[in-house]
Amino acid sequence: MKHSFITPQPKPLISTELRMVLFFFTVTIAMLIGAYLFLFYKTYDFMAERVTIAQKTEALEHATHKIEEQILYIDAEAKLAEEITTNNTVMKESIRNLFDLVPDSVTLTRAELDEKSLILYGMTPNKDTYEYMLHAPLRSIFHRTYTSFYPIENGWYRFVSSNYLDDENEPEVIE
Amino acid sequence: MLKRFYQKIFIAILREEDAHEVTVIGIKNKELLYKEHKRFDGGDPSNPFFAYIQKFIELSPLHYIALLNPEPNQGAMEGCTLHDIDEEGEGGGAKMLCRNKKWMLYASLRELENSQKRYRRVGLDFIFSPFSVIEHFFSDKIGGDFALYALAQKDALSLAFFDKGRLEYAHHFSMSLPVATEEDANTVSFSFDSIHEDEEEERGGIRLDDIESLDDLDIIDDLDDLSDIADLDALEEIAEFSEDTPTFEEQRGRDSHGKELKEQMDRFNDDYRQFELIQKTLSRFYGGEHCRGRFVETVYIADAYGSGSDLKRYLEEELFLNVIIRKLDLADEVLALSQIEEEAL
Repeated sequence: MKHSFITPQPKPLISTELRMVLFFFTVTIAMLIGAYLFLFYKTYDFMAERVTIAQKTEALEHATHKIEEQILYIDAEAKLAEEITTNNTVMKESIRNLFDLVPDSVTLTRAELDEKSLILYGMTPNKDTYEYMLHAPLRSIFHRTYTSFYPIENGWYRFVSSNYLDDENEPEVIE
Repeated sequence: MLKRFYQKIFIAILREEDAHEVTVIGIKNKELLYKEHKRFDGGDPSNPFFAYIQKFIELSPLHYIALLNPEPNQGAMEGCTLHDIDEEGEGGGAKMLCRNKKWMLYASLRELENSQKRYRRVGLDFIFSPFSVIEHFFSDKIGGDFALYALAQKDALSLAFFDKGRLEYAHHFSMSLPVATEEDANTVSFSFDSIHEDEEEERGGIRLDDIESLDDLDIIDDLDDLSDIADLDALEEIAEFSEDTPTFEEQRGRDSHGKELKEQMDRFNDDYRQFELIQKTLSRFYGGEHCRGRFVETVYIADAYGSGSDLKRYLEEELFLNVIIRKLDLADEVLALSQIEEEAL
């Protein structure tokens, strides 16, 4: 106050009505901004969640793929095991058949059983016994049979019998 | 920040004895939008007066209504420290405003309250002293050498002696005061004894002691009376010697001539009265302790009334003073002070 003897009356720039209108406008705008921020946050959160889920999905797909690979491997393993079991069963049966095949007069000292070959080492009282009692059934089983005899002191013969099965899928060699 | 969207409305009220002058300006971003002026008859504010102001104050919340203090009990004094006033204060029934820590304005607290009550329907924001108007109007001069500054209004005369921006002595004369009785004089009580004495003198009219020293002025008084008589005689002569009855146009012409004559005589009387008051103030100043061997050479008069030519002649011829008269629009000054106050808020 430089010149005036009295101080001026307060000058409210905003009337009561205008104040109320501004208040409601402010509240409305605040609510709109609040809703916008909420939706913005939710959208952001949803997008972040979507990315997480996408990553999880990818990880799960990867894991599934891995599991599928494992399943295939295990299937292959199982098949192999089954095959081995079957082969073993077949081999066991073959060995049993082989031992059933060998007559009492012939003594086996060693047998080498392979997939397509059978090599027998043993002793026979004579060549005929071997020839009729063992060689004949072997010849009916294998395609090729070779036998070597070696006389021993007691008059018996030590023999080595090599028996082979030919591959049926191989083309025949025309001489 | 909101203020930028509103226009500022400044309203100046000038109260005269029998009328109110209202001047309104609208300002937005320091640009004058409009200026209006209206005069209302009646010493008391009327309904049309309030309606006129109300019309403007409804335009903007930033409206400031200023009144030039028309009351007689006011003035200015040198020094602020004597009354322990830093910037503003109250005491002894007076409101005081310190100016530049050098001099102070004062006004009757009761009269200020009465003014505020009088315009309560619209509410006053500023009440200015005529001495503030002098300070503002002569801001380019009062910083100079010792001189007398006067604000001549229709109903008042304010006189202030400034020396290099410092007020030395001041007095406010109300020209419209009725002859005061002793009871009236007791109703206003200031603690400033010297001021109180001065006011009582004013209420009692011009004392014969003062007039004694003005021997030459008796002739002017006679002239004043004679001019009235001569005027009347002229009218009588016309009535007596004219054979034809005057037409309406002739009568109206005579009436307007009479009005002009009356206004001329009023101005003449006012000028003479103002001259008397200036002369009395000068003699009081020279006789007082404020003088300190200094003499007034120049009188600056802010003329808000329209008189002045006779006053200038009297002062120059009778008191050998250099007289500089500046025409003043009092409303513009009040509006300018209002703007200064508003900026300082």
